[in-house]
Amino acid sequence: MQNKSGIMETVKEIGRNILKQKVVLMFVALTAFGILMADTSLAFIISEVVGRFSRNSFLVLALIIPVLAGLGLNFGITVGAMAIQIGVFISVYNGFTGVTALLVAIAIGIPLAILFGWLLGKLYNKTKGVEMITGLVVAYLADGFYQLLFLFIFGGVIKMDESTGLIIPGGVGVKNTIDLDGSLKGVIDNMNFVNVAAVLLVIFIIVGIVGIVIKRKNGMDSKSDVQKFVLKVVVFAALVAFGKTPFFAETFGTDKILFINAVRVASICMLAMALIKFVSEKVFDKDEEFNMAGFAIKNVGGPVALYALTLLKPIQDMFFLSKIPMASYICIGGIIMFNKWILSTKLGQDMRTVGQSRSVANSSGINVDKVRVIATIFSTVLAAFGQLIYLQSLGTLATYNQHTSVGQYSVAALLAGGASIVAANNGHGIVGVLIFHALFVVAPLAADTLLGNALLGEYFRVFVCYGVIALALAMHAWKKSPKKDKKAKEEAEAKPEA
Amino acid sequence: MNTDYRLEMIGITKDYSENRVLDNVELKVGKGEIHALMGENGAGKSTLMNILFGMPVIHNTGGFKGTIKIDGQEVKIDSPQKALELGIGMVHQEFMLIPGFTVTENIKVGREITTPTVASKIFGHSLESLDREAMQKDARKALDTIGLNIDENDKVGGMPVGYMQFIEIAREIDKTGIRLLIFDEPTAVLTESEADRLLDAMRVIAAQDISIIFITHRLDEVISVTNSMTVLRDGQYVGRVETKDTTAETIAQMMIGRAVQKLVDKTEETRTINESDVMLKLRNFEVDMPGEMVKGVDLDVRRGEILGIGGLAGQGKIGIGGGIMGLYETRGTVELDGKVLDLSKLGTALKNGIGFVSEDRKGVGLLLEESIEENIVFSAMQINNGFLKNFGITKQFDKKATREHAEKMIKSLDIRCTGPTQPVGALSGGNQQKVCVARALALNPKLLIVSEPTRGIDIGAKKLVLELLAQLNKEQGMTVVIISSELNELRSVADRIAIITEGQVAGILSPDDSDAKFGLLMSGM
Repeated sequence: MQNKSGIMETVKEIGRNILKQKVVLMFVALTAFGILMADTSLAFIISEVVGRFSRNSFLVLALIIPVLAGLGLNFGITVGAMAIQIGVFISVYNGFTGVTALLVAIAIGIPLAILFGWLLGKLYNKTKGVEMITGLVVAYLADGFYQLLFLFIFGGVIKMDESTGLIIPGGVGVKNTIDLDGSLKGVIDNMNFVNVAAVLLVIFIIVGIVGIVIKRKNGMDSKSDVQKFVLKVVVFAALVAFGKTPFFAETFGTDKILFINAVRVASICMLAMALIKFVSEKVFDKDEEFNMAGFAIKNVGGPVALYALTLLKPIQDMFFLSKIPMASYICIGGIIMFNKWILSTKLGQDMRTVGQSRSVANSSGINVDKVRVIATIFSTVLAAFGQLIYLQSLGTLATYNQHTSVGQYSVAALLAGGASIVAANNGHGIVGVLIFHALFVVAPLAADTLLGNALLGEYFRVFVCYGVIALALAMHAWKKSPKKDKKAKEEAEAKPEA
Repeated sequence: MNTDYRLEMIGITKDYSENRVLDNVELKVGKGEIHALMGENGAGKSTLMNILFGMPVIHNTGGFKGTIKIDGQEVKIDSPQKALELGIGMVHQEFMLIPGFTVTENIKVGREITTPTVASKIFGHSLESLDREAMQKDARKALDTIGLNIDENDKVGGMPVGYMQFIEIAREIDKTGIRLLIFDEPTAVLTESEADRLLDAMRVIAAQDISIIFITHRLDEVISVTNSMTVLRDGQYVGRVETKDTTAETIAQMMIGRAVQKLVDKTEETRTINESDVMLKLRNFEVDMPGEMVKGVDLDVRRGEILGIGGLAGQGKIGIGGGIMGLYETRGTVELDGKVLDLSKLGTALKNGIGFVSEDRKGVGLLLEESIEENIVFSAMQINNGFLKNFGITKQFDKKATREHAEKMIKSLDIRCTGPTQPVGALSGGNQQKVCVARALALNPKLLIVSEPTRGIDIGAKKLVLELLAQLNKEQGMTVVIISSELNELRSVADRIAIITEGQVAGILSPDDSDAKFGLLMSGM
């Protein structure tokens, strides 16, 4: 009997945990309904979502740090997008192409983003508690300045060369759309990711050596640190060497590769990581309690199963349209690592403390205002990079409205992933982008099928975006209502007596 | 017993704009001693602690006079950071803990142990990574010291209140070089067994040569744990005594002991109060007012009397008034003239003839921008459609009737103003209070509940307000309940005084009972 009730409890517990994610569930259900309604192949929807994922994730993940620092959802990331667009325009105007164009855009856009982020952070410090509405309004205000710059100052005040084709002929101001083909289009997407990995390897080696030197100076190094580092470098280098072989290029490709192949490459990398972990724990640390079977299931089983899945015909059919720009995904991986790493530092801990309670942070000697400004700068700069990835993937820059809904769309995606104003993590961001963009893709299609009018589709997109924000905020507010808090409290109080 | 002191504060005087809150006060705490700081609300305890902690509120209001010595060295404490450097720590009454953090993170907040990384060498100290293992070790050590056996990796949110208090203490003793620890009413939120454990922990801490200043109003705890104490009263230094040389009665006497000056002149008794004619009956009455929880009050208000409700701040006396008016969630029964009131509906009490003057004059009581006349009639308009002309589909404000009533009230309550249209925000505190009373009277109540009627008004105005209440009682036969922190004013006008301690009635006294009796009831003995 007891066993049975125990199982019931477990089932109930799982049920409760799923119900906790009701915001996500709700959107998954909506998306599933949309997919059923939309009169189109799954392969098409998946390829659309995969493409949008590589464009948008970076922007969404840029929102996480301000949430942790208690600033809420930073609608102000729009100013970061504007900063990089200024950089992109100047870069393209001066005729740079390829990686040079990318670097010039960064060199101009990122300092601007830092400046804007700093100003925004200062403003947020004056408007504590209403950062979200401030961010929204600042985005509109900044749009005014941005238009002044592009409509009037470029061409009007500063003489611009019309022969570049970027200026309205005979008039003032910058053209409505800027074609990035031949300059920035696909610069990151089409990068040879094996080369990117090689560059990362060099950085890894330098950082690793300096790190060990610092540790040694502080007398905190151990022999196994060096051993592990050398092992990692060897495995990493072997992977890069493998990527350099003609066999790899022929089988998998080196820039935009098929989704199926990307999964295969990922599972090979995961196996390599398992090898590193195995040797570190078993050979270097000589962990007595090392559990061979458990380790194998956990670290080897996963990648092998993943690789096996890619060999199945139905799976291959589902993903045959989807192509993965590997270098962009490396960037997304980079920001995930960055978000994680920052939280492991003193600065990250300060941010979390400020986010949880400004008064506690203050009384513990943390400079609350400074931490908040830093968090805003991080967010703005990351958003600038995010917009750059977006633009190079899209291939055109709509000069006057590319940035306008960056804030809203990113916020909507993060919320759909289950994040709230006070809690967000990488997982929320990734899940959110997938759900939100799936919904974004299928909503017009479904509307078309249901209502028989393709024009309504566009309307549906806007509706979906704002609907997601409103619904997610309302559902979170409902989850947190004081009455329920009270009930929970009473239950907690009743427990110890029982 | 101890001639060289850890802390000496000598000749401390502090004025808040003409108002002297501390007058030549002295506080001496020995090394490794537990020293109680005693006094009623407003005696100056928190101001003294603010000075010791270098709080900005002190320095923004002109600083203070006097000297502070720590271990015999004269020190200047001008910021909380300075106080922390000198090894002064504080365990707050409200917890300064972060629910979403683990115990370790809370103990180490702001003082995390870090190791340098490549990034920190380039971008500065703040990018050093956290050494969680070392942090956990430190936290464990601090928790073991005070004997709290919980996992240092658990989240604080959802833990029992008692644990939180201990975590707060662990955080303080984890600070290196801590020499003096202030406990600000630490046992107020604890159950009895938790409080006992806390006192044990205090003894353990004191045994490590850390001095403790213990602020509390629970006399039994003072007697059991402290070595000595300082008593303050009305900003004056009353004395420093060794605990072993004194008794609870003496301490209570020292805290309360002042000649009762009747604020209202005694007039001839014309009323007849029948003891069995109960107007308002509270049974097992509980109110969820944050900070003023009422936990099961049984109280009878007799027709025609003035009942005083006293007690220290935070003990629940304010909650009784708010609860009866339905401003907070309540349990238990409230009977008015034998009829049980349904307090879950806001306005029930008002409709049944209970008038209320809130303690929060500016926040709840008055519309400061509006005129006197509108303030006087607005509850009456809302509750029983007074001062309204009924046109069937709409109701309109009856200007003429309002003006007449307001003028009558201004005259009878002696509200000093330029006329009924003057905004109440422009009036003095005492006159604002009279407008509040006038508003309650506009409902023609049978029973008037007045909460903290003299808070924030000067002594002359106090007298007028109290006289007004006495007059209403005597001349119109109105039953009045006065809730006040100032014992003196209750003893001036009330027929009986109920003392509320820890959310319950500790006892009902006559105004002429001795100081010690009042003191002991207020201290929960």
